[in-house]
Amino acid sequence: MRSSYITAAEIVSPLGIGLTANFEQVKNGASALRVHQSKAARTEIFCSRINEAQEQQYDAILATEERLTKLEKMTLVTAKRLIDSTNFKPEDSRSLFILCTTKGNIDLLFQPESTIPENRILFSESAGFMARQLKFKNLPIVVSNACISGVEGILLGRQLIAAGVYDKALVVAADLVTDFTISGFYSLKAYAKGRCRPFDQDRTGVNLGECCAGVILNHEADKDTDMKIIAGISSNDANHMTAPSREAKGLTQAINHCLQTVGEDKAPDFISAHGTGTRYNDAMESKAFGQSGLETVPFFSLKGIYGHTLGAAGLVETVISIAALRDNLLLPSVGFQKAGEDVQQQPITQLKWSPMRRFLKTASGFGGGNACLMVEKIRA
Amino acid sequence: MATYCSIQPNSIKHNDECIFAVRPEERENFFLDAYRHFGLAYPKFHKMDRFCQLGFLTALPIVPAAGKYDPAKTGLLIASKSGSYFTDNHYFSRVFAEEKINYSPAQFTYTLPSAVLGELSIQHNFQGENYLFLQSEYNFDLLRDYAKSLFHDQKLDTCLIGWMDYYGPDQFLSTFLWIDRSDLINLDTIILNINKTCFDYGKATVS
Repeated sequence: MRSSYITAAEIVSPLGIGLTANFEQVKNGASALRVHQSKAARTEIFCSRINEAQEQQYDAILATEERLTKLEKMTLVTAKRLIDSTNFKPEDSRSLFILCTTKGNIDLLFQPESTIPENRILFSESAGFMARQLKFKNLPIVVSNACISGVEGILLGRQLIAAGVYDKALVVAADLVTDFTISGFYSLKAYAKGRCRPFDQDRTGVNLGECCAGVILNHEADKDTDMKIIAGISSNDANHMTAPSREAKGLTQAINHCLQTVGEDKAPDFISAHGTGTRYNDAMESKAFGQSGLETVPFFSLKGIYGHTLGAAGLVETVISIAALRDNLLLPSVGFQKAGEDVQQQPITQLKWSPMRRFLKTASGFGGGNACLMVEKIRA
Repeated sequence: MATYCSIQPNSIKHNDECIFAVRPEERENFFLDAYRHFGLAYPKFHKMDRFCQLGFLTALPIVPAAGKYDPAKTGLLIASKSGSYFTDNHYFSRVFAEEKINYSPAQFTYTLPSAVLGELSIQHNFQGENYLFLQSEYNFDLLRDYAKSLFHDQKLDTCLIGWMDYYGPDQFLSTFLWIDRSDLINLDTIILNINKTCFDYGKATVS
């Protein structure tokens, strides 16, 4: 089976442009969560958003005559940084573009004033437009499986490279914060009062966030390549549309698959958890870690920094975890204070240096989906 | 043994047989009429959006009885162009834009194109790999390539693959295919035949 190396990783977020800039902020304990007045929530909520000045920065970087949506700007800046930092050639017939998103250009809905063609509300049309801008020859693929989209996009690229269908894949994930999505989480009573507090005893729900992150997957390593995907799979709880399995069945199944694939001597050194801050998700995840024999493995959630970035979350968190693995740093779970009865293990609370070789990334979402993957550092 | 189901406005086709059809002027409640015609009792059907109802009806004739497949090794791969476009519009204009304070949680859930994966997984206990792809034109290439590679890696033993679109009461299409390991060798031919018959079939109307 052909391997998938990660030859580049990038992120564009409210904390800045680029992985280096973002990781500096993460190490300094920054959070992108701010107070926001939402019509949909009818109250003050916390979320993480890209502001107008940042959007103008993206315009300057892209310098195009084309009219772009906010999501397209974030995606194209991320893609451009990934392509420019490697020998990736979009025009190559063996190169694939995968876009991961839960709601895409949902802000285009009912915008009669918009000068952007209406069909770009369809995910495939927006992805097709961006693929042409980036000069891809192959038609792109969009993965939209709620909050596991980002992890699944990486797994799709890896699997198609392994099967020899493509040699390289540019995988980018993005989602926006809109009243549309806020209304949904609010109606499900899943939006946090105040800041989200993943794995905390007093957690009350999510804070939404907007962000974009991406990786380049390659069947060959470049001379500087230091990361490789060594396992991954998705699963479904087949249980409930909006609540995870109480027995943590699907996630446990997916984690066990990864652990069996890599073998006992390759246990993860940390887990980059989904950790949304909702009661059900965090308790379920904690249970899955225990059931998979990972109860002593350090773990954290990045939702207290970036918010829940929906379809982008899995990729955003994989990219930040790659930087952490590279620097041998265990990251604190921002927002956590005190463990409760339903979360048995305590997440990391302090930035800590520790020599590490690999991590496990988990994700779970609406519709009962779970996905996880393992990344290994192939050189120190 | 591969088996397929295809739904287009007016008719439902299972393998080479038409199992339900209505006249164009009678198709206003096509999905509900089909549900009644088959004598189904699955109350959740009535809560689903049209996209999920279409997926539900297309999967029904081809998924074997429980016990005939290993749930943990059964995958679900669906591709679409429309995704949740129709439901997004409905949610925006009927639910969200009216500024009700209590938006219906169920209605929001269906604005996720992947809700159909959840509904089908719950109904049939599919627990394996599950994906929802959005692509710009009807085709089974990705579904075929991805399913093949998941079988090859022993991640799946059986899989439901399919294409579906829903734009409105007069504009929808679905083609689902149930495959197991023994179908892999002929998968290209099977898909070619289905594409041919499904497209021709759509032009025939009930007289």
